[in-house]
Amino acid sequence: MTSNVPKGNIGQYEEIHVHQVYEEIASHFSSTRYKPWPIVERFLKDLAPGSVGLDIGCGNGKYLAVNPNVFIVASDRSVNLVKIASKHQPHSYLLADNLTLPHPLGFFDFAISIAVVHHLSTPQRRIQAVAAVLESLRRSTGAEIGGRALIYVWALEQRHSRRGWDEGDDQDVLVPWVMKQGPEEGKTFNRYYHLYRQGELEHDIVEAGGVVLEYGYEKDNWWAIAAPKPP
Amino acid sequence: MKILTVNFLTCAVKACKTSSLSFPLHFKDAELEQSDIEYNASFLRNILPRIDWEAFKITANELGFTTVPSEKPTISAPTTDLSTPDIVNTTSHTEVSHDKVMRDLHTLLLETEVREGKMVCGNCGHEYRIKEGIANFLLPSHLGELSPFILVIFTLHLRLDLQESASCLLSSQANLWKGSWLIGCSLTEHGPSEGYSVKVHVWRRPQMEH
Repeated sequence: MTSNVPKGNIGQYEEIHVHQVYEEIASHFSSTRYKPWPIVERFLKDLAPGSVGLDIGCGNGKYLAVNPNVFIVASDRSVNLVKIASKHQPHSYLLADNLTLPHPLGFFDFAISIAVVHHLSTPQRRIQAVAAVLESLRRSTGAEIGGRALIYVWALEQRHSRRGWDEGDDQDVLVPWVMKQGPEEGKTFNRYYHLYRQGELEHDIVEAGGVVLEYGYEKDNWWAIAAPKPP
Repeated sequence: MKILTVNFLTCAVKACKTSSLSFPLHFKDAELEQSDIEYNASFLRNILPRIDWEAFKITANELGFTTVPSEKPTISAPTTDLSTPDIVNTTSHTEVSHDKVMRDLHTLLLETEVREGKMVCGNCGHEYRIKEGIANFLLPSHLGELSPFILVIFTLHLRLDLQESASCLLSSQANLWKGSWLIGCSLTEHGPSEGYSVKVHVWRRPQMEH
């Protein structure tokens, strides 16, 4: 059941099966990602004007235009995707790794990390990635919840989707991306994903030092709104 | 890389984040470009409370902008009450100058971009490249989260005055040992004319590239 769990040099594995793939498919990938998911849209629209936050793993930056009253520092591991995202003003763009983010700790009002954490290939690294999101947020006090993060991951339970995975299937998978445009048309790239079981995202959030404020399932994905755990 | 963004950045090396030296990052060889972004007074007013003014002044100064107000402009509620018709058209001198300050800030914080250059951490000295306006914060693997620390054990033979040679050694090699942790040392005295030897145990990252 765990046959696809990567072995050996993890950094190199993700470099080949995640980072290089996005670098290659950036433009085609971006052309298929333009409609904001409703729960992400609602989360961003509910933010107070003047909020400062992060979009960690921003991809083509499709969430940057949702709320013009907040400032977002967006980052991604793929320079080609960051270049595409940089068209959205007045925000800001960086090339950064979500395990070593270049941001002050305990500062930001909000963060989103949409369809990102599932690309990390070990349980420890996925928890570290959630911890990195939570650490960037304003800390919670006894009286008040601090900054909030919205995290989205692909679900194992999606028997009605095109992929058809479900409970009991292998959670570590390589998912083919077939290029439908450009000079590499027809070429297939395999991206690594960890498919989350029900409850696994919430478990990881607690392990990473957070509290789950809200969670749910939407269109083949598990999502959760989390905050740093109050002392 | 907008000047506003610098206010929300530190070094990506985890050990640096707790050091005040890693904020703000310092520009080196910066090439600037002016872009055109629509002025949005309420956006700017709302974002102001989140700006660390001291850090912003350091950044602006490094890029040659020396006219930043020494204090953060105070954000007052709009002074013109639109429900009172007789004051709608009166704009006081303070309001005009406040508007000028805010527009200048808009230009500096949002429209001024560093297109090419480097950002340097004041704690570890690591340099991050900015290319075509995009800063690269990816760490070489030896500085990333997978980086192994190595234990270095060495013995120093100090024949001169102990304190003098130790401080001489430290200052000559300060850069080499930045980011390392001294985990123990033991001193052996070999006699009045023989000097001392010090056995040192250090955890360190492999040598950084500069």
